[in-house]
Amino acid sequence: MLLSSVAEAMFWSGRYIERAQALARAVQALERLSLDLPARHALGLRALLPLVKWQAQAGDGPEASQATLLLALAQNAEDTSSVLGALSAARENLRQARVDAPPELWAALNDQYLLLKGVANQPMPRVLAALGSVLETGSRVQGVIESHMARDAAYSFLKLGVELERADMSLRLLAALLPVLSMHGWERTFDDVRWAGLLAALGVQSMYRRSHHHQLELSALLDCLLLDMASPRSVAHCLRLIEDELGNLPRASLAPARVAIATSTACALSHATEQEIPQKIADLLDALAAVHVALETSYFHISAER
Amino acid sequence: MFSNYPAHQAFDELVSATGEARLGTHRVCDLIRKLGLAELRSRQSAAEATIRALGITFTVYAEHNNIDRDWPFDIIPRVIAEREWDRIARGLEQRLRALNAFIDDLYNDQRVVKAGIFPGELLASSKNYLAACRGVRPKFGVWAHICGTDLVRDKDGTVYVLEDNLRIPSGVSYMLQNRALTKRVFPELFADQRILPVDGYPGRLYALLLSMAPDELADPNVVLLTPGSFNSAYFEHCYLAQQMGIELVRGQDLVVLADDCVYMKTMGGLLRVHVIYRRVDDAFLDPDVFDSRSVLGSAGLIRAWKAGNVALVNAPGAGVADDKLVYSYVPELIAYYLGEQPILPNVETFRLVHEQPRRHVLERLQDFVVKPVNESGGYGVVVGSAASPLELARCREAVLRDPRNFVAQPIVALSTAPTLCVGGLEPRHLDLRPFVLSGETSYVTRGGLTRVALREGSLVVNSSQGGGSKDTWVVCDE
Repeated sequence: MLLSSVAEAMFWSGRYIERAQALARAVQALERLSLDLPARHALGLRALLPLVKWQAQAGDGPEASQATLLLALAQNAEDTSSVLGALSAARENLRQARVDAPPELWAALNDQYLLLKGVANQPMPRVLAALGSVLETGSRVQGVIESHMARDAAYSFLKLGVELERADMSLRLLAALLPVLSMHGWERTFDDVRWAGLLAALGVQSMYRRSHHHQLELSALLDCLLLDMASPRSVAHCLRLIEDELGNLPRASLAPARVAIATSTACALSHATEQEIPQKIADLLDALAAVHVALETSYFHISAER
Repeated sequence: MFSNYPAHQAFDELVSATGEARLGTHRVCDLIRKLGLAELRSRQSAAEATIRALGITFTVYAEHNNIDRDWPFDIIPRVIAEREWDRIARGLEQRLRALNAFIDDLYNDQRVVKAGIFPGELLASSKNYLAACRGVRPKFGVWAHICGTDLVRDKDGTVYVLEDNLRIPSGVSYMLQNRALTKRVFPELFADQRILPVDGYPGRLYALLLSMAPDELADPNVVLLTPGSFNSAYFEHCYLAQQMGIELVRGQDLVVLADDCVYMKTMGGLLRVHVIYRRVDDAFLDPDVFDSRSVLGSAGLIRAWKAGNVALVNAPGAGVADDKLVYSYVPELIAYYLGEQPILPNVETFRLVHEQPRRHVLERLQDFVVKPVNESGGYGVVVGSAASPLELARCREAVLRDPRNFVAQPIVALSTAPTLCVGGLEPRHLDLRPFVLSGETSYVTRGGLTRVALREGSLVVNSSQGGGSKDTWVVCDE
């Protein structure tokens, strides 16, 4: 029977592994997008700042350089929301749970961390190249999880963390990128390029194309991100997997009921008007947080009473 | 490659004073010559990259938050002929049998004191004698189930016991990792000679732990208790727990209930624990009995152990024999408890608690190694020949202030082995820590952890003080 402290460490490892991967992907996609757009239409990395603990330094102002922004998004070891901080936190949690994780998982995660740590104080192109390698190694991490881990409680908690964070990050990225989707007038000339970049940032490019082809509709994007059961990144798909993993765990828990609430909240968001979307995203994030709290209460904080 | 190698400065483990390969080392020496320095360096780099990628690390407390120092490893192995090893292994088993009889006696009848073999005043002043353990009789009469004994070889080739680590000896995982690394580095050598395997250790350790369970349970729950990820040996704790397939727990994961049983907090609720391989010092095991500020252990653990509801490995209090003053009595203890002559000799040891040897040593401090009796990891050791006048003066003051706390030994010219250094292959001093398991039966690792002083001329091999390590091969005689 898995120790509750190890269950918690596994769960957080999963969350941080996925957080690092999602943010690295978004940073890379937006950086590439800036190369494809005329300078005045480039999004820049600033759009992603709501995802990290950004504290503007004196002189940064709205014109903070891409390098400074990249530092905050990718290389701030002190911020568990930045890519390096998330990898560091994933690694520290996995260190607590190292006995229950395959050595290959530790080695792959260690590689990711060392890759990014190794480019501290390096020029931007090298940091971006390292981010690319982090993403590739992230695929190895996912592969090791699926191919090397016994399907036991340790796996379940790791997966619960990954899936909950995936849903959470999809929503946070959507919220951060919404202003870009609502552009009007001449700025729409570059919609095709911008949408391709945004879909890449959200990691749903091929899934979206298969179901919605070249539609540039917010409602289609919401459908893909929230309800598409064929897309492993959709919130509904993540919630389904969470429900499945919960079914493998002992003890009654409030978590399945919280998952059901989150699923219906996701449905409500998919039908929201453009004005309602920000509030509905916040509602869904709250619903996901309630799933997390239910897991904590049921599995991580075990009373010393028999 | 060995033409300019100064093998004559001390006993070299691979090369004789006349430059010949020693028994069992011909193939290693031939390969080293054949590969050349550039290829050896390339293989060393590959080994270091593997260490980094796999996260084989240790912690040096002086480096504060750096818990990720790569394990220092030299690819050139140390080789011991099987015939010689068999004798050493017998000596190690003999020694641990006597030490366990001694510990059991101290906590019960104290016959050894009554017989005048071991002075009562030394027992009374022992920091590691735990009154809380009086009257306990652990299963099989074994207190020190796992022992790491440090061996050194002097200039004349004799192997001596330098000290017995009976509390929570560490290093065995690095012994196993060193072998795994060497197999990658020199696959050709493993293909064409018989190097005795070391891989069986985790299985033997697990069998020992199972055998210690109370009540002859069919399927006892065994855990490894670690102080946590900031402990210098955390890598080892994870590695051993993983290899044995047991839970790695911290104090906060355990609870002792009113039934005097130990439970671990699992996601399914509380689950009884029967055997604890503890890697937490005695002082921190149970805040109810020892250090009340400790959060590394669990309140009630000693109560549960004394009630016979949980086995603690090593048993609390075993450290009473891990006192360098006790070490000096081991030959007498072997004779007293076993009626045998010691197979492995001690290094001559001066008990500074007595006036005459104290005066003798203090007059020639530069010729001795002075050691605090209860430290480990090389902390507090002063090597007279390498110490500054100020360090010698401080050492003298410390000895005079608390003579019970020190012993002195003549400086042993530790043996050397070729080590890959900046300037090429150079001799570096080394010791050897084999591990002995003791329960209903006993087991000695084949070889052990060879620790090497990486600085030229240095005799300090501890990894916490700049030492490195080598794989140790016990090979069938050629």
